[in-house]
Parts: sequence; structure tokens; C-alpha cells
Amino acid sequence: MSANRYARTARGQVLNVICTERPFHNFDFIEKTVGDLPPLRRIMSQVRQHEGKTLVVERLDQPDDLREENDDIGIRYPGFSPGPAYRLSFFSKPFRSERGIRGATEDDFIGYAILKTDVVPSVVSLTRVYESVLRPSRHANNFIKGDQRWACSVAGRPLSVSGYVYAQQNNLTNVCAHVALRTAAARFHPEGDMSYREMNRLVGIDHSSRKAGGTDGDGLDSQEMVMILEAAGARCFVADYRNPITREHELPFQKYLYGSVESGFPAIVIFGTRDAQYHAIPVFGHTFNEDTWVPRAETSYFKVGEGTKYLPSESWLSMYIAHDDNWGSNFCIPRQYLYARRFCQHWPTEARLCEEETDCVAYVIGTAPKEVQVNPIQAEVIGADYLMTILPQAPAPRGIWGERMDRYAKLNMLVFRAVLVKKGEYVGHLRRVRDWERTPILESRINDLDVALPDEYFWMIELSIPELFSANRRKVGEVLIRAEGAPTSERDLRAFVLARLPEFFVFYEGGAASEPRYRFPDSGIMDHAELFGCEDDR
Amino acid sequence: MPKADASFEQSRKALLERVLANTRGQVAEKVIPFRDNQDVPNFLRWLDKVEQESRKSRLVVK
Repeated sequence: MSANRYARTARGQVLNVICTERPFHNFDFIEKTVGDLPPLRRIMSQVRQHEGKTLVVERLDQPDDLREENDDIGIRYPGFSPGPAYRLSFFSKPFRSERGIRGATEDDFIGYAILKTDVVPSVVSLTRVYESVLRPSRHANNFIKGDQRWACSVAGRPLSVSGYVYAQQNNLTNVCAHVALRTAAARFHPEGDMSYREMNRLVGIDHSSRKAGGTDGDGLDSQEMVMILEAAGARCFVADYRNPITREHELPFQKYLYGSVESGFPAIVIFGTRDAQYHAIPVFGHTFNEDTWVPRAETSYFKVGEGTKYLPSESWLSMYIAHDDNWGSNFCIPRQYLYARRFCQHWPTEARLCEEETDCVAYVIGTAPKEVQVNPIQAEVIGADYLMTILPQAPAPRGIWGERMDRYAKLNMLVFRAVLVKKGEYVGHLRRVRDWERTPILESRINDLDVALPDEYFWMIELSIPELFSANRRKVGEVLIRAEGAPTSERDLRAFVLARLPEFFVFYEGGAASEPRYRFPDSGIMDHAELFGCEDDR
Repeated sequence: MPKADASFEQSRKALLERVLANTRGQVAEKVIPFRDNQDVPNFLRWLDKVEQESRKSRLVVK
């Protein structure tokens, strides 16, 4: 691939190497360079938090991706003239000249932002953040999974940074839907990024007969957004929260977000705005608060039905981590700040909208790899069904942990967490975990799984209880559900792979769905073990 | 070693056979019927309806 393919890797002309330590003012720099640009203020604020000490400014000479966008804008607005583009690269290492870049390491590189100016006479003259990737937050309780490594170039020196790409719309050939899609689609696309031109071609936007941005632009609709993500390689799971059907059961939209991001795949939230439009933002991480009161609140359990209630692990989440193209990258959005439209009990089939509820979540799109057919909510409730069935009926002796789990089950306080894993990840996890006495799982059992499990995606639904989950990040077991098979609503055992509970594994041997027969070989460990991703040896 | 095209059911059966062989048959066995409520099947049917209906929606995002 040509280095000139992307603005982040293209050769640039170094204009300035700037010390950004005090008394350098971010505000002064932004105001003198681009005037008022909130996303750049947000980006440079994050750089300040990362203790950035050096800024390298390079001018770019139309790399392929910028040229492609310019060509499209030229079709949309024949009077368009491309403006300058700059790459800002941020370092935590102090250096004062171009030579200093050669001594900078990956650890010193905080990230970059591409600034692009588009001028359409009598229409717009706009400088925006074409794209940016910054190193993830420094907070220990922020969890961003699935972030890509982005190859970059600064003064000809190859460097890379991990994160989810942020981009701002130009409202000419792309809108907020495009930039939200770009953040999400990059996770799946074979080339590691998806161009706006590719998105537009998929939905027939040619900037002539059909336009994307501007006052006469169509934007993208939710079906097109799903189609673009699936063309990139994602499997989408959607819910329309304006539809009364979605409100017949309790199904918080947050479950779609959490189900994706906890497995390292982004989601998109579409919500209404006060000017009667819809705005889309990508969500790709969350924070974890082990001290939150929420799981103790009476209404915090998830109710599948009167006989099936439990605590989703999402109860300990306090913020979602998201980009908002209007304001910048890597924001924390309080879990309860966004909400779906409330339906009045007196008009249950009418989506009556209170004037105070204009900013409601209207639609959510969760994602997973295209091979996955079972969505995370299906997986969680199917897993809960197996575990809540097997747990109290497992063969004696069930030990102290069996008795404890019975008590928590009666209080609707079992905790379930669904995570998508490949066979190798699950086997690797079993090799690493230890019980409280630091005893490992039997090697022969793990070897059997390594040899005989098919190499595909599985949903692992982990089982815990509140104190164990939040304080120790440990679990008492898990059930493995097949993710690549078509889901069914019947209890036909087709999705069941295995379960593991204190002291033993559970394998399905045969028998009709009405009387399934299981075998219970010992596991070698007596009590709880670490959650996936929280292994002690990390 | 399961064949690449082995069905999931075959892989699951092969896994159990392997485990039982390595434990020399000293493994507890029990029939465990599902709980007598229909919460999960009903919920899954409704969830499928939500997905199908939601895919028909067209919200314009600009």
C-alpha cells in the first residue's frame, strides 16, 4: 500500500516543532491557527492530560484520501477549491527540532490530528478535524477493547498509535452518520478503514443525482447505515426505540451498547436533537465503578420474565466512552444521561412525545463479526437459562458455593456477563485462571477442549455474584453458547457447548430437550476464578 | 482432531468422548430438565420480532 494513501502516513513538510509545555497556550494556538474549532480544543485537552510536551506541525500535499474527498466535493460543488491540510502530531517527549523526532519512540507518541480546510465560495469555508487518533485515557477504570493500531508517519518517521479513529463531518459529501460509521466500520473493514466514497457508492450517493450533506442533502438512513456496516464485515443487531414493540418488555438500549463494546466491537447510538433531527455517535468503551450503588437498587435487575431475573454486569458501568463529531473524541457519557423515549401507560401503543423528551435515544446498532449470528442479549438470556437450570440441580455434593449460589438466585442477584470469545481465547483463559487457593484447572481437561472444540466464535456467559464480581473481578463459572449457529427461541440444546461450575465441567451427552442428560467431569478447581480479561497474571 | 467440515454436533460429541476417555468413566451423570417457566423462549421470540421490525425502520441521520 502506498504511503500516500492516507493523510496519516503521507510524507509531510515540517513547518514547525513547538514546545507545548507551560507557558504554551492551547487556546492561543487554536485561535491563531483555525479560529474556533471545539473538536481540536478537546483533542489538545486530552494531549495536555497525557502530558504532551511537543507538537509537530506538517503541511500535507494532497494524499490520496484527501484528494478523493476533494474530487467528490468538486462534483457536489463545481466551484470548490481545495484548501490546505495539516497534520498535528503530539509527543510526550520534549524535543525542539526535526532531528528530535528520530529519537522519539512509540511510547512518546500520543497521537495525531489531520486538519483540512474546504472552501466553497458563497457556501462554506470550513476547517475541520478530518481525522484523529489519540492514545486511550490514562484512567485505570476505563475499558476500551478492540482498538486498532494506526500506522502513522511524522517527518518521515514511522510510528503508530492505538485507538478508535475520530472524524468530523464536512456536511458536504458526508454527515455525522458517515463519521460515526467510519469509527465503527474500521474495526471490521479488510483495509482497516472505510472511505466515505465507498460508503456513498454502496447507497447510491453520487453527489449529483443524490447528495449527502448540505441543505439539499439526504444524509443516510438507518437501513443504509446497517448496510454499510455489514458491507464492511460487521454483523449488526438493531433496536428502534420509537417502536412500541421494543417497549413491550424491559430492554434498556444500553444492553445493545454493552453487548458490543464489552467484546471489543463498537456500537452506534442515534438520538433526536432539539431541531427535530437525528444525530449519530459511535460508542466503543466504558468505565467500571466497583462501588456503584446501582446493583443494589430495587429495579436494577434485568427481568426476562417473572421467573428469570438477574443482575447484568452492565450494572457496574458508570460511563460509556464515545466520540461526538460536533465536540471531539473519547468523551465519557454517563450511562443514565441518555434515555429512550418513555411511553405513557395510558397510551401504550402511541409514541407520544413530551416536549421535555426531545433528546431521546431513537435507535441503536450493535455490532459483532459477520460470522456471529447470536446477538449478545440472546446469548445472555440463553446462558442465564442454562445456568439457572443446571445450578440448583447439579449432582451432589454441591459444596458451599452451590449453596451460596442458590441463595443469590432466590434473591435475583446472580450476575451474568456475556463476552464473545474465539476457541483459542477461551482455552487460553482456562489455562491462566486459578481458584482462590491458586489451583489451576486440570491440564488434561483444557487439552481436551483445545483439541476437540471447533475453531469458531462462542458467547461465554460468566456467572458471578455482586461482591465477587465487583471487588475481586472473579466468577464461579461460565456457560459457552455457540455464536455462529442460527439462534432459535426453543430450548433445543443446539447452542449449548459446555458449562463450568465450581468443581466440575458440564457436558451435554444426549436425550430429548425435555430430559437432557449431562455429564459432570471434575475441573480441578474448587471455587471462583478470574473473569475473562481480568486474569491475575495480566 | 475434528475435521474442518465436521458439524458442531459432531465436534461436541467428540469432545465429550475424549473427556470421558481421559477420566476413565468416573464421571457423574444426571438428567436435568429445564425450569418449568417459558420466560426465555417467550423473550427470545419477542426479541426476534424487535430485530425484524427495527430493520424495517428508516431514520434519516444528517
